[in-house]
Amino acid sequence: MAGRPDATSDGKGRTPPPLGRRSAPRQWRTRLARLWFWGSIAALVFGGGMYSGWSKSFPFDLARRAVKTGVALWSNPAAKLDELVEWDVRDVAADSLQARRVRLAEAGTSLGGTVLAVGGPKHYRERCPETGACAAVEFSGQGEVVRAWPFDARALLEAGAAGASLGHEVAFGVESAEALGVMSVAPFQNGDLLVVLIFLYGHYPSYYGMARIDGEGRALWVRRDYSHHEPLVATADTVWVPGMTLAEGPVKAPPFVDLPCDDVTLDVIRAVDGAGRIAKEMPLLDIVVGSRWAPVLHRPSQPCDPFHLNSIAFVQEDVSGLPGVLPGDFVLSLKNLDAFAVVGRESGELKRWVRGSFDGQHSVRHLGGSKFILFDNRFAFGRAPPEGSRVLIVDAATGEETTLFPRDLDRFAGWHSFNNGRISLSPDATRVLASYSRIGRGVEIRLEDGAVLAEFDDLHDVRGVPGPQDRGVGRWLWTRYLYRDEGRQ
Amino acid sequence: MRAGGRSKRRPWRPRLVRAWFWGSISLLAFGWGMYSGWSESFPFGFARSAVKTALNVATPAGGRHTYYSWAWHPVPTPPDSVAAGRVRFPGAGGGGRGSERLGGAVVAMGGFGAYREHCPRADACLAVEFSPSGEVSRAWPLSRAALAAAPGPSLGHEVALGWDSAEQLRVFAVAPYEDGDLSAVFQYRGGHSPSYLGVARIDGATGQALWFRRDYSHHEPLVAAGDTVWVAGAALADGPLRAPPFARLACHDVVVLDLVRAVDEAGKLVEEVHVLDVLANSPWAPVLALAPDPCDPFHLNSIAFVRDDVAGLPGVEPGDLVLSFRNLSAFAVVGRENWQVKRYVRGTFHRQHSVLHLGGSKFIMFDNRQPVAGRERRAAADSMAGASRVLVVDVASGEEQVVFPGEAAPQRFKAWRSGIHGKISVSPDGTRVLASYSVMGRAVEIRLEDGVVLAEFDDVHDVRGTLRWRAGADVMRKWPSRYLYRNERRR
Repeated sequence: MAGRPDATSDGKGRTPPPLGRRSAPRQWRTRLARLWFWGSIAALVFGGGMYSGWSKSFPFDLARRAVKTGVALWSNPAAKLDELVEWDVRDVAADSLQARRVRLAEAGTSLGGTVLAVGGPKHYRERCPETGACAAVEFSGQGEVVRAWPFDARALLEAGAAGASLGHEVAFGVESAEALGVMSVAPFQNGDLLVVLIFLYGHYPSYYGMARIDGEGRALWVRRDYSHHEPLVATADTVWVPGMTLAEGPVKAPPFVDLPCDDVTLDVIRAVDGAGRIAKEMPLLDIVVGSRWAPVLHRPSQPCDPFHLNSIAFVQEDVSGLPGVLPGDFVLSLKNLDAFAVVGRESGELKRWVRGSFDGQHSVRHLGGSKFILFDNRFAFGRAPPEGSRVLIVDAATGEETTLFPRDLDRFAGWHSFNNGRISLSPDATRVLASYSRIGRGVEIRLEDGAVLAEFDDLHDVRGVPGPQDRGVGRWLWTRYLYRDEGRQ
Repeated sequence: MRAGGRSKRRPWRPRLVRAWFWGSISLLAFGWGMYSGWSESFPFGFARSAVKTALNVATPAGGRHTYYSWAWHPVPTPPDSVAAGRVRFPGAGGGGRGSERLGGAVVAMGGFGAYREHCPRADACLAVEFSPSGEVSRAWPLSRAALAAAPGPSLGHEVALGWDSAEQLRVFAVAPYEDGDLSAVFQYRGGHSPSYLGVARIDGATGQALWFRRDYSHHEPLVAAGDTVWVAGAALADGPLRAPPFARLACHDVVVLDLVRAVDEAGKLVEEVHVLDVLANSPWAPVLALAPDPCDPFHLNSIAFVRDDVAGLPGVEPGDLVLSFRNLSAFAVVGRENWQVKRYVRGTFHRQHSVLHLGGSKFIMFDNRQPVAGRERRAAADSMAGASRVLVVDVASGEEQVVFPGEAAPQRFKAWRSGIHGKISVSPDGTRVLASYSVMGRAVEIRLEDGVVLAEFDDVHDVRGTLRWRAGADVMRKWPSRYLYRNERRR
């Protein structure tokens, strides 16, 4: 029987190195082998990660959510409570505000009608001292504030809901009442106000819903249904407003529709009666899929939000030159498709699909005949286009386009609103209010020749609002103005 | 404590530390890899190139992509009946030939392995001509060696290991010169980047290449007055590409930027204009903001002229260019002299080809209506809603009219589909249209007035004795097919 090997010899007469140490070549080889092994593992792991990130496969989605949460925590959205989100703080004397808010081009003239200015948190505080914010104010024809609707975010959040309440993901530390803002408003005949609400930060989705408030700012009903953008109050107090549903993607509807996105936002046309009850809902996807324009949804440039319906209006009685289009049909502005559509009010038939040189447009209105007017944002990357955003008239019968504003590019240089924006026609349809939301400015122009009749500046006294920018006056950068009795809705 | 007790507990600690360390490294590596893959940032480009190379190396070159095996479909027809089946007049009893005649002599694009009986001594039949009665009356042979030796500028290609460029050559489109020569555009089928090769002038009598510009010219050539050839070109740029304020092409690979190119009768470059410049300096520049395919934003696939009888389109003049952009599902009318975009037209058409001015304010095109990809493709194929069509668009009014297949067309035509390729050719008298459903290897001649089918074309070939024949098929249908009138109405 062989004995155990001698610890002091390898059996060939060579003396092994002391215990715990190997010969230099062996040590080098071992280390290299180990490095090779772990390096390969790291390369494989790296490759696996790369494939996951490229193909968006497991566990990419988990990682994306983790990063999203991390960024939310890092950016500390709660700190925004002390800041002025979406404001441009100006060095303007607070006591000159009133004169600067509305400036008529010529003394002694007046606006084309009383004008509503959309408010929100910290807006027009001097007019709504009890809540510290107005949901909207009304300017007289001479530009004086003659009426205000108080805005009480907390009361709106706590009010009983009409219909089901849809939930939100809320970032850590964010208080919903502080983050709630006003996206748009529309007046009822009796002086109540329809207010579309949006979270300015820290919530997903950002759309909240809408509420009907009375002249004292009390909520008569609230719908937490992700209604968004511009509401339109039609006859019998029916409210038409863009709505939204969330769908898990990818969404495919052969032969053409292909939306390669995990979480898809799908817009609906929504009608609500005066008491806040749903009267009608028409999914936009169904309308387009059932039409000959379905190919526009074949891998569109923004598959996660393919339509971005931002306004609903109606075809007017004097429509002509557009066979098949009837008075009362919908005019839908679809920002992410750079198009607007005319849809049968009852049939849901897509009758016209209009595209032109406009880009990221808002607020499309029928002007009469075959003409439409819109706010052409001209969304741009990096720098604003030289002509900024435009008020554009499009003839849907001929494709002809006319720029109504700006015509003086020097005077209005830099007037560019890459998103938002609004058009409102005066009651007699001879004037247009154009809101350049992202620069906090508005302009009233004559429809006939584009002459500027008045300018608006969305300035507010923000003295005492905590934060580093406590310099007195802030310009709100989500501006929207509309005539109290809008024409051609 | 016992002396050995400590030594028993100690080993797990360094192991834990080591596992922790390597776990963290792995996690970081995975996270970095994920970011790199998601954002397509370094070293993703290298990895992609490596994978591409590995796949190319692993794929037996030529095994799947020879010109005999690519894009041919077996047809259960006796080889003897091939000639009779190529052109059929429906009114003559389905296959026979009566008094019906085509609207003019028709040139059918050939290629390697096609119409071999008409070019027995050549490497390929570049094209053949059908007489109005449907008989092959002429053939253009092609000599591969002559093509390789032809003079002309040459841009390079990346070639995957083991791929034979000569084997991968394919004829993509042809157009006849007045004197019987042929303008031919060539591409590569596989293993080459870019796939576009260039344009050549082939002598009609000998099949010799008079010149060959290997300059990435692509798609349909148009032979205009003075034997000037207008053809789409391409320039390659590294993405992503920005041209503020609107153009943002978020492509992390090579961006193919199309050119409008004019070449004289001797193959010399006369003019070359970037489509990007043309569109970026127009009111329609915002269309470049979010192009659906940022790596090939335009895909210019045809160039045509506005005719002399243009009307109802203020500012548009005879001789202006009509450019078809497949990847924007749009076409543009561009000033011939100033390159100003005068009209940018979109409609219900989708990934169209071959946009031609019909007269007045009307344009005709092959509307591919390419369906969705993936698992849903079969469902799409079952749906006739996605059939390709011949569409007439009135640019002045936006009105659209489906010429073929119309309501009255036989049901089988309503399922005809060519998701890619396709061609339209208008007869010399402007009353008929040839529509090539390229991917199906089929075409129809229709009456423009009412869409009635006057003739059918079937791109079938006798492949006995070829590599494909050894695989068991005698007759095969090739694609892509392209048919055009010998004297098609060009302006």
